[in-house]
Amino acid sequence: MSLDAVQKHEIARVLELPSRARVLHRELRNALVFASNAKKLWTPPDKIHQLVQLLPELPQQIAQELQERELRDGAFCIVGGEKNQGRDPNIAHLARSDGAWFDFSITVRERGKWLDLLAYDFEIRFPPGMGMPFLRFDLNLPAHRNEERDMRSHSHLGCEDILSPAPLMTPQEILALFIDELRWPEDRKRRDPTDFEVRWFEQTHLLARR
Amino acid sequence: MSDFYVEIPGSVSSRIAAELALAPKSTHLLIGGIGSGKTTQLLATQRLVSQIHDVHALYIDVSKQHDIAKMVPGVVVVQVGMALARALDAVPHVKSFARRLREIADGYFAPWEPNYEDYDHEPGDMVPGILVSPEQIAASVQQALQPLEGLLGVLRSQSAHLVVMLDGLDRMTDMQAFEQIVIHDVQALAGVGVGVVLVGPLRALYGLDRTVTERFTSFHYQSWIDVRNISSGRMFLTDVLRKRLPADAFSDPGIGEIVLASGGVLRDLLTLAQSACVEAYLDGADRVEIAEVVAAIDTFGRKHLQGLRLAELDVLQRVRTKGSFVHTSEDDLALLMTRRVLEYRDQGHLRYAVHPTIETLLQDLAGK
Amino acid sequence: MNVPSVPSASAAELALRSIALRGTAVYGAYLAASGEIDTAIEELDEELEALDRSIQSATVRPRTGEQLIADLAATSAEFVFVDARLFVALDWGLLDRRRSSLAHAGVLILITTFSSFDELMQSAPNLASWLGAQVFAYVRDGAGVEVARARRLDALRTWASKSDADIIHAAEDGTLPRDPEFAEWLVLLGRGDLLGPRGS
Repeated sequence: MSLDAVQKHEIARVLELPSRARVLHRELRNALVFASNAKKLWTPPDKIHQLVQLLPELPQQIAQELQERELRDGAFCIVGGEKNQGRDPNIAHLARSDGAWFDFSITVRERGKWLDLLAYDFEIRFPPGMGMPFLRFDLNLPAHRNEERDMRSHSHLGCEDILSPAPLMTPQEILALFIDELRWPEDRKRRDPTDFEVRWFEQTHLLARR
Repeated sequence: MSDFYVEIPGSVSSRIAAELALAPKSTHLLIGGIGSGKTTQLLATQRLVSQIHDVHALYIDVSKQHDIAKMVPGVVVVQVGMALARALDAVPHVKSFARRLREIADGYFAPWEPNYEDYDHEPGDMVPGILVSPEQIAASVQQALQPLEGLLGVLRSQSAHLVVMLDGLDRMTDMQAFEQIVIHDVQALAGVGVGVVLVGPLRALYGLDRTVTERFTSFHYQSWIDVRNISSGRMFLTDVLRKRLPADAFSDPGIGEIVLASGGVLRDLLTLAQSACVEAYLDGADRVEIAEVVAAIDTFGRKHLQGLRLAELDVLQRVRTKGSFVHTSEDDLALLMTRRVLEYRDQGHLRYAVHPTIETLLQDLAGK
Repeated sequence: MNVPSVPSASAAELALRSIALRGTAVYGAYLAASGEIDTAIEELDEELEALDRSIQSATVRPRTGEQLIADLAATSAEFVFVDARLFVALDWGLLDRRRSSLAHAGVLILITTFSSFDELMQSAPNLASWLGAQVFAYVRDGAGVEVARARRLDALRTWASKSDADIIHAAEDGTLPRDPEFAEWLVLLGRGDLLGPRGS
């Protein structure tokens, strides 16, 4: 059965984004600063300013000159934290107050008066006992083979090779999810892992060691 | 007076107040470097003097209503009169004196009155205000004294004495003009029994300008606090900070480092502390530790070095390495005025040092 | 012998510092080349507004120190940015003497050139002491971008075990995977033109 209808639903949403990449960059950076002020993040404001960067396609001076002359709609990456495919906690990242940590990368293109969201990956890694090692939201570039399998916008729930459909979200929304949600509920005692979960993790560990 | 005020043992304000208690018509010159706390001491003096029975104390910032680059005799007397008029506002008969002072201050039209005598102006002429024109020297002082004496008469039905704290003249650079103010205005005020505490320019301490200090009953020097050599000075500045900061905002080593870095300059102590707090916020520290203080010192010191000429840097290096400083020129004096060089006086003994925030930067410069 | 310059700060960082100092009467200076002052002020204003939309800010552009005193008296904004690039020693001297008239219950930032600031330091010692440690040099947001770009490209090459040329070739061929990592790779190489589907 095709999940075409599911995918169309997920990416059909019209996102409200600022018209300029630097404005989006500023909004994301400030959201993190506010979270730091509220002690939801351990990463302090000056580190946030260092880690959250706007990387233009072209050298800055040229990009600005072209933009001022309205000659080129440039592409940009907005990144938060160093590139960390290996999930090494020693590589600079954004740290949450409960021990979870995350980074992100977004690719956008400015098209006149609007911003095209082309791709993103937001990944959060959890401390032990939080149910899964990591969660990642990916938006691939259009026309990916996943899309042929109905999954341009998808998530990875603790596994690189298994994808699940995920709704298209704005970067601000995903960031809010990472900052405020995906936490142990404060009003409930933590549940102990079930025997099934413990055996599962033990067997996964054994498989990895083979 | 602010809740943050910390009394310095043996402070200038307590000495002046004690002298005024005994001699309410005496005149006092207070001199100190920028940021040494002169205004704070002046306000403290006002507070103490106000507690003396039969004395009314007024604080006046002369620079607020008049450009001190254009100081002429009479300006101070007029401002004292206007301040007194405001203080006595509710009392009958005050308004006419206040009006007269206002005319002298802002200018007026010579009246068309048969008995009006003004040999310099015809009836209907615009008589310029004293707070603008430099032409009417000693006569303007006399003019301003008349309504002031009228106000003093009104005051003396309530308090026997008036003491005025005159702030803002420390920024004067024209020492001749300053001396004219002292000769005319201060003497005129003393002549009508008004006690005066006046904050004067630092350069009055040096060279030929020193003689102006002799025109006062007493001279008081608000010096920097030698935090390197005097432990009570360090304790005082620590108390000043602790009083203003939330408990645990600073670690003890952090406070110690800031106190030393201030060089004993109160204003610099506070701005350094403020800057260190910002650094702590930015780097997410729970409280200010040495790292944040070091960052604040570096930023302060870099600013403090801007605008210096090569010759001045040479002088600073000499002060830094040898502690010697002989101010033979205006440029040398400027280094004192701008607090690149700090002068400490302890029982007649003088010590010179560069401001601590530029010490390491100068060292690095010399090493290049 | 070059005196060390004041530390640099982007408008974003200065806005953050200013917000941290809110609630006190603070004076600061922001130094820039004359041609960059308009941009510096614009960015500062934008960054401040993004941090807190309730903040009232005003920009004044007095030609003289005397004019600044009048302008300040006319504004009630909490944050005031002063384009002081025209100020010379005479203006700073006047402001030094009339310091009481500069009293502002909020954050006041003087934006001026380096040479004008040198004149402030020479002619206005009282004003200079008020500035304390709040003096920074304007730098565009994005200092360190090239270093970050290089580091990220390095990490991508290591992860994929491929070269930049491999990626560009695959994108031109239409065989490049559409994962977000490859989108980023192309942008960092300056080849955003290859982001479209099938390399078009």
